[in-house]
Amino acid sequence: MSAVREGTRQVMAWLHGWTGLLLGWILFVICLAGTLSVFKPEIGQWMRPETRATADPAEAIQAAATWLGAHSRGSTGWYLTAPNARMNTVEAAYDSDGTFLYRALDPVTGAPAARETLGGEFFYRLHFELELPYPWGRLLASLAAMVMLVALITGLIAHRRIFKDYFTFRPGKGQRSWLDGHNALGVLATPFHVMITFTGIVTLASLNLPWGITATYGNDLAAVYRDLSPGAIQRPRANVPAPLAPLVPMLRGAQRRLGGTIGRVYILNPGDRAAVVTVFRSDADQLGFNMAQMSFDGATGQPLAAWRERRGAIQTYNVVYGLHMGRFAPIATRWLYFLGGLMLTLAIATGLVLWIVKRRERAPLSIGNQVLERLNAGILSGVPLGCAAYLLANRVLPLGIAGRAELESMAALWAAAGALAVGALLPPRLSWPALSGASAVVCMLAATLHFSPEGMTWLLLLTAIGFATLAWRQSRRPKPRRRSVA
Amino acid sequence: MNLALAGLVYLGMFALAASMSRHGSPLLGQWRRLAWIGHSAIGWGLFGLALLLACFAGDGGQALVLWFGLIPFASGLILLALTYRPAAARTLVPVAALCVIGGPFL
Repeated sequence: MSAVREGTRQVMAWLHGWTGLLLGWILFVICLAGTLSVFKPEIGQWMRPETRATADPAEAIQAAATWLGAHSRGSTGWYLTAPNARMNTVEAAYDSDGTFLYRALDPVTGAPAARETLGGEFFYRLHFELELPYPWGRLLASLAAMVMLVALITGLIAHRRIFKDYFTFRPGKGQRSWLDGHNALGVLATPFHVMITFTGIVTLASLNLPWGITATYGNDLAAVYRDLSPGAIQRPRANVPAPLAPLVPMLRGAQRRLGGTIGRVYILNPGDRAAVVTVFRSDADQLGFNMAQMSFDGATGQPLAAWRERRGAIQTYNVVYGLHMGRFAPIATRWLYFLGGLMLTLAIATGLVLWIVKRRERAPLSIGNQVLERLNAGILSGVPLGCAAYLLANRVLPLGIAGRAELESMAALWAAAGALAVGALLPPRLSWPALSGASAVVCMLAATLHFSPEGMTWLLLLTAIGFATLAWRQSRRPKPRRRSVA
Repeated sequence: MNLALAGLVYLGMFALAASMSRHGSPLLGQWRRLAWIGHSAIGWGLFGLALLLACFAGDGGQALVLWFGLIPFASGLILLALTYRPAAARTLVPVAALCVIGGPFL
């Protein structure tokens, strides 16, 4: 019996290693970006230091709609997120002249924030789209999440002494320390890791398991949305121009009817007699996402429909989705989400390093493993460097230049690509400290240029100190012991 | 309530760690006379009590999410303390106890 158990463990360990290796780097990007997305609104606010005004959410939405009415042409819909305690701007996604745009709008004037940036949205999109075109990024993220679930389960089965080693970390012992670190990061936060991976897969379920929808609805996606959100009315454009009725009374009415605060406001067919304004209750105070909504005729302001979700299956899905998004989380829980995400990111990183450390202690590294070792240095150092470069670009790029937000994203991608090249070209004993040192410098610069004493600045300074310490330790690391071939 | 939950989870984790043969002695240090603290039943009991409190907090499941999030936080603190400074883990015990007592009133 024990032989069977040992055999099972070995198979699980093999599967754990290979699944982790196969998509480990992508999972590292997904997890780091997801971890940073926990503070998406705060990052956005830090990246727009000139926009400090605050306004009542209903009035801010009205200001945004007025600006959009004057500045968007041929728009089919405006998708607005109201400001709240964590974010002072109105987030607007809309189309104009056939181009889909994303802007953060000033809550008082309704005009775009002076510093054009994607803010935390960059990390959020990177988390599940990986800067790849639709649907490839989401499909890859989905596949990676499934592989992650396999790696988690096989890792737990392969771990021989899960409770005995629960509080164990033995530093300075080479492979043993890496294994302890990997185990601790994985096991201590297992409930979080399983929850966030499973809910991540479910979040993209319509993409990775589309057959249920196809079997029931065929290609009629409108019917799917109608059934999912009966309170969100959709109707075709009448092609008769009509101004939008004042939004504030509609929003106040919705707030009275739905309770809570205003979350998102969708305005379909703006400027048309068939305009529809749909108000979604904020999910900042409840686990479930999108539990209640109310629609109004945009031209007259008359209510069309209201809906409070009570269907068990959809409520379950909404809670699963809400758990992944974590928007309900008060500050303490948000930090715990951040900690859990960081532990998962580091578990992946230590797993990837462990793969090499383990093999180097057994025999000289094969060519393939030498390549992996260099890619590890380039990617595991390069992704944080890219994130830091994104924040630095926000501080150094001049205001008002065309395509500023895209340039910030490009800075992140080029910095990560540069790090990958350094990792590939230099031996790891040089590339690791060089890239960690670069991350420290970039974080320090991002924090100190246009210094503003906020939490995000202090966190960046702490991260800079962390990277500097890491670089110092890596530079003092003895040259790896390589066995000569007999 | 959050503070009380955090305190209970930490105390539960401390007791569980102290009940382990590998960690009991460094973790308890001068508290060896209070070795009963390091009993796994006490650890699981405190842990379960925190879970019960979270389940009946009546805030739509938010306390339950917090309880799950506190597990890696508390156990991570104990792991780091055990590795580098076991006395720090003991120092946090009265703080956690104060959180348990005072938390509901804050």
